[in-house]
Formats: sequence, C-alpha cells, structure tokens
Amino acid sequence: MKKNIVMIIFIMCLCSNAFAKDLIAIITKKGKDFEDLTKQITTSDLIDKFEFKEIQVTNATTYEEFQKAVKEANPKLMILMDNKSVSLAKEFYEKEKSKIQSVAIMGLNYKTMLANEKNICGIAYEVPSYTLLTQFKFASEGKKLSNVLSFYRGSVFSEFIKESKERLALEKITLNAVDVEKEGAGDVAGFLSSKGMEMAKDANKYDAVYVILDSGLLTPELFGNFWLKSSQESKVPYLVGAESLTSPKMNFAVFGMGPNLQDLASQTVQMVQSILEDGKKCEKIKVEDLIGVNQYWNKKKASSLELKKNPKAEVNELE
Amino acid sequence: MNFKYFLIWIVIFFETGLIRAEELSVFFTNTSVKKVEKAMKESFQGVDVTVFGRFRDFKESLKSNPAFVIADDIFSTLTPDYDRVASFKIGASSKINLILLSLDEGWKKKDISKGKIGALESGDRKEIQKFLEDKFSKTFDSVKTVSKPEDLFPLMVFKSVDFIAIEPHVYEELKSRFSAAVFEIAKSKEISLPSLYVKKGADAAKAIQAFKAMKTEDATTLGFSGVE
Repeated sequence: MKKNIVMIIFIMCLCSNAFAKDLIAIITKKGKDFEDLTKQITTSDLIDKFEFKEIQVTNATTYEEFQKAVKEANPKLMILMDNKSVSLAKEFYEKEKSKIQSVAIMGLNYKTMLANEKNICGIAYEVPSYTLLTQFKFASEGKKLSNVLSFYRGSVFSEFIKESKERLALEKITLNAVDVEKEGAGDVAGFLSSKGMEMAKDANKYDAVYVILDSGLLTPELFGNFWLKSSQESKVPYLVGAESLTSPKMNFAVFGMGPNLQDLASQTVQMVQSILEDGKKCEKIKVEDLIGVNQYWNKKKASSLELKKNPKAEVNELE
Repeated sequence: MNFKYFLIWIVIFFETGLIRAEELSVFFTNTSVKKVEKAMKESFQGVDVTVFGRFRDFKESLKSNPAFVIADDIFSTLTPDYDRVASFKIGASSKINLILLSLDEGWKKKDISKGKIGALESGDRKEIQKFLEDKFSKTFDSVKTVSKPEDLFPLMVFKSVDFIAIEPHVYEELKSRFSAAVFEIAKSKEISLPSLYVKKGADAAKAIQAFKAMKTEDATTLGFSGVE
C-alpha cells in the first residue's frame, strides 16, 4: 500500500514538471554569427542543468510580441543577442517590473546603454584598445609602439578614451586622442581633412593610428575623404577592431581584430553560471570587456609599410 | 571464400572500433594547439592522436576511453582510471609552483579569499576552483577561465579578476606581449607539469617510449626542456 502511494506521488511529480530543468530564453536574430553563438551556448555545460528556448526577433518585432513570448516561456534568465533584443528587454523591465536577470551580448555600446540597468549585465562586443594595441605590438616584429594617434568624438567617447589611456599606460603606450568636435569647432570634416590629415601622416611623431569604430566618424563621406585617403598616403600603420576593414582589397588597416565566438560563448556561459549557480546579480556584474579575439594581418599593407610579422604571432594572414 | 569473409569481418571490426589504433587524447592549456599537434604527431607515430583546444571537447573524448592522455595536473584529480607514467620537465624537474600575480601590489596572501582569480580553462569551472583552492590552500570568491594564456593579462587589466594563477614559464613567455608591472602575491604547492597518463590495464611501454623519445626541439617549442 505504502509502495503504491509513493509510486502515485512520484508519477504526479513527473507529470507536474517537478523535475523539469529551469529555462534560459535566448532572444536572438537570424544570421550565421547568431546561430553559431547560440549553438555554442546551448551545447555548453549549461545543458546539464538548464533547458533553452530560442525566441527570434527582427527589427520589426513589437513590444507586445516580445512580452507575450517571454511570458509564455517563463525563463529563469534571458540571453539577449543584439541591441534590438536589449531595447525590448529594457521596455519589458520598465513595464513588468520583472526581476529576471539578463545577459546581453553581440550588441554595441552596452557600457552606456546598460549603465543604469539593474537586471541586465553583459559583455561588450567591441574589441578593447588594450588588446588591439598590445597584440599588434607583439605581431609586428621589432615595431616600436609608444605613441598612438586616435580621433574621437568627445560627446560620445570621453569615458572610453579615459579608460583606454589608463590601460595603455600600463604598457607604456601613450594614446594621443584628439577630440575632433572640440578641435574642429563644429567642422569635423574640415578639421580631419586638414589638420587631421597632417597628423595622421606624421610618422616621426606617431607609431600607429588607432581607428575607433564610431559610426559618427566612419560615415561613408568621412571614410572616403579622410580615413581611406590618409591611410593610403601615410606610412603610419592603421589598426582597427574589425576584420572587414583589414581586407587587402580595401587597402586600409594593416592589423585588425574581431570577436572570437567560441571564447565569447565561454565568457557568456560563465556569466550565466555566476548568476544562476553562484547567486550573483547583474547590478554588480555590469558590462565586461570582450576577452577572446581573432587577429587579422593584411599582408599587402604590411609589405608596403615594411612591417614584418612575428613568426610566433598566431594571426589570420589576409592576402 | 573463407578469406574473403575474414577480410570483411576485419573491416567491420575496424569501422565499428572493435579493433582500433591506440588513441591519444591531448589537452593542455599552456600553448597553442598547432604547436602541440606538430610535436605529438611526430613522436607518437602509429597512434591516433587528437589534440583538443577546448576542455569540453577533451572531456567528450574521454567517453571513448582513449588508452593514453597527455594533460595538465588537474587531470589526475578528475578520474581514477588513469595512471601518470611520465611528465614534461623544465630544467631537472617535472614539478613547478603556480604563481598568483596581480596588478595591485596591495593584495596580501592572507586576503586572497576575498578575490576573484583568473586561470586557464583546464577543467570544469568548479573543478578548477577546487584544484586552485587546494593548491593555494585558500578559498576564492570566484574563478574566471580563458582558453589562451595571452587572455590572462587582459582579465586583470579589465578588472574582471583580481589576480591570475599562472605557471612561471608561461608568464616568462607572456612578457614578450605585455610589459605591465605585476606583483607576485603567492606561490602554490607543487604541481606536475603536463604528463602522460595511461588507462589502467593498457600497455604503457610503447607510449612511454614514444613520449620519452620526443625530440628536445619539439619539447622546447611547447615551453619545456624535455621529458622524464
């Protein structure tokens, strides 16, 4: 009789999902990188303790559609891929007063976007200047890297520049960052094509130009009239945190970097584990810098700048 | 006719793995997969060598019970099914002490339990934490892991961790990439350099012979002076 009662209770528990794993919702978009990263995460160690549900969003997804999908999924945690997912989630937190923790990845400007968020933490997708410059120094055998020039918009990147300078100073690299809004007195294009051009070509003063990925300064006009022109007329190497701008066809940057998706998946999984297994809160975690990167070496550009690749450097050589 | 059927069965056995070339699974974290692959394939000819760059893939490979494994010291704590039979060495010794490095000279050994530690991904998160806590005789607030040695310095610079645990010879290599001043906070108990492990019951002789015959130049590219 006792055995039967125990059996009945056990079967009831099974039916009531008492043994069901907690759910992690992955808010994602269509695209190879999103799919690759999702696969890495859903086949990680998290699979031992959690189930996953993918919720696809597009730029046209409304808040109501998002809210309905999340409420139906009832996740323990959300992984938000891309700025659109983060925007929808921010609205969700404001309206629903939810306490679900979220980890944001594969989006831009998270340090600013999530600065006041209590329930969303994440990993920046931009390649840190520290990583880009120190690894370029290693990859380019014998190249001096003490003074690096950079142009930035003070209204958007002041904090970033301050942080970069502090970090690079540890490596005795001086970042000479020029606020084009201030120096140009409103005429950014004019400043860059005159004084900016002169500075970028001064190989006696600067060892490299660090190109910040700023959509405000990398407009098609400025890219054609200043960036591309100066890089092709200058003997100073251009360094950038994007593979596409390192392509030999473009003839722009000599060295570039981009996120390594396997490492990003690992960093994401560790952040999720710290929240769900160790009880850490997003408010304390905030936004981490990207750690794992891929490196790209533009062979043709390197040859024209007489730069020699360090044989110990594991870079993808682009021809 | 009989011979034809005999051949068919031999092919079936090979394809299903009932007869297989001896397998060597290799995973250690101090150097690149390419370098390790080159060194292992030259030494272990006639052995099915697979070098893994990620712990999860290596862990998966253990399900097929490879006869031989070359792995970091933490492997000896993960399974009782293998015996350590030989090790890499630096100088005259196959033992080293991990060092705990920080950018902040304010850290003292007595306080490290409050800190977050960075390390190479040589096991599962909890296994690594347990291993490091045992070797440093301290608990840590948390552990963050990376897959490549050159990612350890950024972990500290970005303040994701308070200090990193690293092998001294790996730190020497990293000095060519990073010149930031660091401070040694603590030294661990002795650990073994990456070693050759043989599954209990497998024939160790051939594997030991191949490992010990590794060319010095191959061992050197991996950061070691030889094997013992």
